[in-house]
Amino acid sequence: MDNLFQRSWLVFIRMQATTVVLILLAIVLVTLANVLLRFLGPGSLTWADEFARVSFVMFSFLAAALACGFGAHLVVDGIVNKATGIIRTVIHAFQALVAGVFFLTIIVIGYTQALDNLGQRTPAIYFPVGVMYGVVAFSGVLMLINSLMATTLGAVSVHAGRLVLGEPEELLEEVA
Amino acid sequence: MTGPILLLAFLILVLAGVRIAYAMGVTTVVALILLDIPTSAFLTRSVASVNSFSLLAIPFFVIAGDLLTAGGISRRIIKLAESFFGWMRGGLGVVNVGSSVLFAGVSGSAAADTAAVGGVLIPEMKRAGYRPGFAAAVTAASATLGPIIPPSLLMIIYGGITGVSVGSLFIAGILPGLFLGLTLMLMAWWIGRKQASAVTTLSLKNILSAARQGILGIFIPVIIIGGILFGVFTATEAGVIVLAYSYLVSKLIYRELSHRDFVGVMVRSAVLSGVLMLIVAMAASFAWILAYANTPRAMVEVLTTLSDDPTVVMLLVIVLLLIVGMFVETIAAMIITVPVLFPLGEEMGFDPIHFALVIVMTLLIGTVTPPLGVLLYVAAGIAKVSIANAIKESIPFVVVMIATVFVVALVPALVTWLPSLQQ
Repeated sequence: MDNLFQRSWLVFIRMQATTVVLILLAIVLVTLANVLLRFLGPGSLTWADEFARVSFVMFSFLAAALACGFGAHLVVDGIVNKATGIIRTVIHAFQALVAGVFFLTIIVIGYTQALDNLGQRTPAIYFPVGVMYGVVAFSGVLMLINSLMATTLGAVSVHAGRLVLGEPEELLEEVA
Repeated sequence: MTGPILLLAFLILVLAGVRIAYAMGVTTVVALILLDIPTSAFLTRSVASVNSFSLLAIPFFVIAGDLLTAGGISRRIIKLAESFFGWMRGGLGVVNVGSSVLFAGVSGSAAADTAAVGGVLIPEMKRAGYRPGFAAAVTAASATLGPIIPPSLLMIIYGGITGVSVGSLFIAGILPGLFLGLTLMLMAWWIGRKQASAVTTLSLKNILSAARQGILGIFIPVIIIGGILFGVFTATEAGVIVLAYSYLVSKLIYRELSHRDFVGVMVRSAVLSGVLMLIVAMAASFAWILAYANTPRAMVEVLTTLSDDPTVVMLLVIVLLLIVGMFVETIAAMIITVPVLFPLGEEMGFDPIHFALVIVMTLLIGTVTPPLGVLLYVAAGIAKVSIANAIKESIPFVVVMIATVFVVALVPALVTWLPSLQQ
């Protein structure tokens, strides 16, 4: 049964990773095309900058949600790691509570902002601003699910180009 | 009083092991509620900060950096440095720093530098007879060049928080980075010359052969620096050009990048960018609420009671950041301190680019000092040496780094001259 849960968890995280990577590739290709067309073609794409920025907002929050599944968000745990017994349990419960409050805040405010901005569109690509906030709210839901899954079933990591369950690679160290 | 309470609440959450981005977000929302400000301001500020073309450079340079290692460019860069400096007695230490200088020009991350350079050179240095602790120390210290010499993830984030031009920050890092590289090379040679002899002979044939292999990697800093300095493209556009270039070189010329490698690079880069962007987004609203609570002004008043001489204030800031950097991870330390220090710098009349470089260089020293010397721990792990031994060996390098920071702080032209030439 454990394996079924773990397999489902990996499928779920692979779907998110695919989405996030596709958005990132779209940003890369549009920005690259914009630069190349400026020098080699008829001129810049007027919509490229806005497309890249709007996509980047959605990418950032969805990628942050994906990072929850990897257990990759930055933490200073030197002091907490020294705690043992009941103190350690209380600290972990406190961390989970704060994380829960954070995710719910993103969901609730994101949802409210999505409704408030549904009629507003960006100037160049006419993208609904409400949808952008909707994606932010949705990423809050994914953060909640991914964090719960990573805690109960184990964090995901990249190994030889594949997503596997296990300790995250040196992502935190890479940040430095 | 609101500002100090906010900072204290945030620090308590961070020390309790709450993820830094979550801690900033929750502190901000609670403050908004207590100050009777609409909570929608939290997400509006955060989303607006991410809705930025200059921050797009983060995923671009993260992907490019990962492609360099996966595609074999890093290895060739190290070979090139070895052909230049490997003939000296104690030359491998110099090669290590030289590789980091070259690698810093193509990657924006210190840890990527530690892993790429250390992974190849630490075993080689051990085999050549260098002390493992020394190999670890020189690797960690020289890896700090990564975020100083452009491109630099830290500079992009700094620009994202403060609005200072990322292109100018990149250009400003060149001379201080090269200066630090030179001082570290001298120290590495001075200590290393007693430990081992030369590993290669100085020959034009060796240099030309390594240059032929590594020349495509060396083009990357030329693209970035030349492009920005001559106004051909922005830092973000430089990022996407370097990314495309690294992909094409790795895939079509060196033929070392498989499809699976590329998928791994993209997923890792997406996750790392997600981590960084959530911090940047939360830092924007946190910085805004700190400013609303007049915290930077209070900080200025505290520091100016000690002295109103800008030079003394700059030195006090360095001492403060050295202490913070010892205990808090570099990006986190920057996120916490910059929203407070940047307005202080403006108030004291510091050049924003000069002040940025001083902040970044000072905080990076914390990556090689205990108790949180991340780079030193990674390098010691590669060298399979005790942390205590690596710390002892790193002392001369830390002294050199601190001295360099003071020189950079006291000679602003070292930082501001190159950006002043920008078109």
